[in-house]
Amino acid sequence: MPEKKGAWGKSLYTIVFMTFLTALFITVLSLLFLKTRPRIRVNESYDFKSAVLHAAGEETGRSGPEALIAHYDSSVEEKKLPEGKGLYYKVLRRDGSVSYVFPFQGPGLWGEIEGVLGYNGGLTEITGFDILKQNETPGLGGRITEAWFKSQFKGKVGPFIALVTSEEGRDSVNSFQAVTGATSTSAAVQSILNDLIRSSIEMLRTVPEEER
Amino acid sequence: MKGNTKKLFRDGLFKNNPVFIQILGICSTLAVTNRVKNTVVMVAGLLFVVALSNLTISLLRKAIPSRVRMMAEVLIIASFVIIVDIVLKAYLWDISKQLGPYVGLIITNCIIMGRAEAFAISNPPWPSFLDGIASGLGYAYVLVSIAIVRELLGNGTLWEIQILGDWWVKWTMMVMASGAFFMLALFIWIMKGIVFRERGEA
Repeated sequence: MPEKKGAWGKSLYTIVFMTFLTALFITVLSLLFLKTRPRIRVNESYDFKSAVLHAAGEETGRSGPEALIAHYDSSVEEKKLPEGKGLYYKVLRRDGSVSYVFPFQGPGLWGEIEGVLGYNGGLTEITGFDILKQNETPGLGGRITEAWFKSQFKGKVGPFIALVTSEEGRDSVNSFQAVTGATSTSAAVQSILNDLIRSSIEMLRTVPEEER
Repeated sequence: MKGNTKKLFRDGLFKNNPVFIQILGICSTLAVTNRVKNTVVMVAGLLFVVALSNLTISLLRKAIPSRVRMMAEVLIIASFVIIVDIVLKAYLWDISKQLGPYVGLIITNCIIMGRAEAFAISNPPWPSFLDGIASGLGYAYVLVSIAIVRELLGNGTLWEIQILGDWWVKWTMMVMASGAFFMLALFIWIMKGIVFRERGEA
C-alpha cells in the first residue's frame, strides 16, 4: 500500500480503493451477464419445453434447440385445471395422439424439486417424467435427473405404493426403483408424485375428454 | 526462475499439496468425488479461480490497504467464481444443473484464500499465477483419482459410461459420504506413508 500520512488519508484511500475495486468487478460481471443472458434464457426455456415434450412421450433427443422450441410452440397448449387449481399442458403429439403434462413441485431432501409428469389422453398411463430443478446431493439424490431413473415411469399408473431397491421391481405399475443411497430423495419424489396424482390428475379425470 | 518454477510445482503437487498435506478443500473433496464428470468440472473451476485470483491479487498487492486486505481478496475470488457460474450456465447447462450450489461454494474453498494470503499477497504476478496453477493441479489430481475409484466401485461406471458389467455388485458405500472419507484417508496413507517415506520426504 502506498505510504499515506494521517488517519484521514489512510481511511480515504481505503474507501476510494474498495469503491473502485467493487465498481470494476461489478462492471465486468454485469457485462459478462448481459452478453450471456440471451443464451442462458434459451437454455432455461429449452429446458422447460424439452421437459414438457419428453414427459408427453415425444422423442426430443435428436432435434436441436430451434426445432424443439418450434415443435413445442406448435403442439403445446397451456390450460387451467377446474376451480383454478393449477396449470397443465395439452400436447398434440406427432402421431396424432394427445398427452397431458402436469408440472409438480415439492420438498426434496435439501430443497425444492420441480418437474413434469405426463399422462396419455385417457389419463390411464404415464407417458413420461422429467426433472426441471433440484438441489439434491450431487451423485446421490441428484441422480434423479439421470435417464435410467426418469425412463422407468413410462407405462406406470400411480399412485406409487412402494419404492424398490432392485431392477427386478421396476416393472410393477405402482412402484419405482429408488436411487441407491438416496432413499430420502426417492421417498420425496414418491410423495410429490402421489400428491400430484391424487389432486391434479384426479381432478382432470372428472372433466369430460372433449373439454380437457 | 526455472528453479523457482520447479519448486512451486513440486510444492503444489507433492510436498505442500493442498489436500493431503495441508488438509484444505476437504468439503468439496468429500462432496463431488462420487462422479468423475462433476469432479473434473469442479477442479477446472477451482483451477481457473485460484490461478486468476492469485494473479489479480498479486498485481494489486501494493495498492490493497492491509486493513481491508481480506475483504478485497474475497471480492476478487467471488467475482471469478461468479464468472465460472455464468459460463457454466451459458455453455455447459447440464453440468451447471448437476453441480447446483457447489459452484458457488468454490468461494469458500480454503485453498483459494490460503494461496492468496500465503503467497499472492507478497509475491510478484507470474510466480503467483504459477503457484495458483500448481495448487489447483495438486487439488485436481487428488480429487480425480478419488473420483475414479469411487465412481467405478460405487456405480460400475466412469464418466457415466458403464465399465463393469452386470456381474459387478455396486459398492453403494463408495458413492456416499462415508466412502469419500475412506478413500481420502487411504489416499493420504498411500502418499504420506508409502510414497513419501520411500523417498525419505515423510
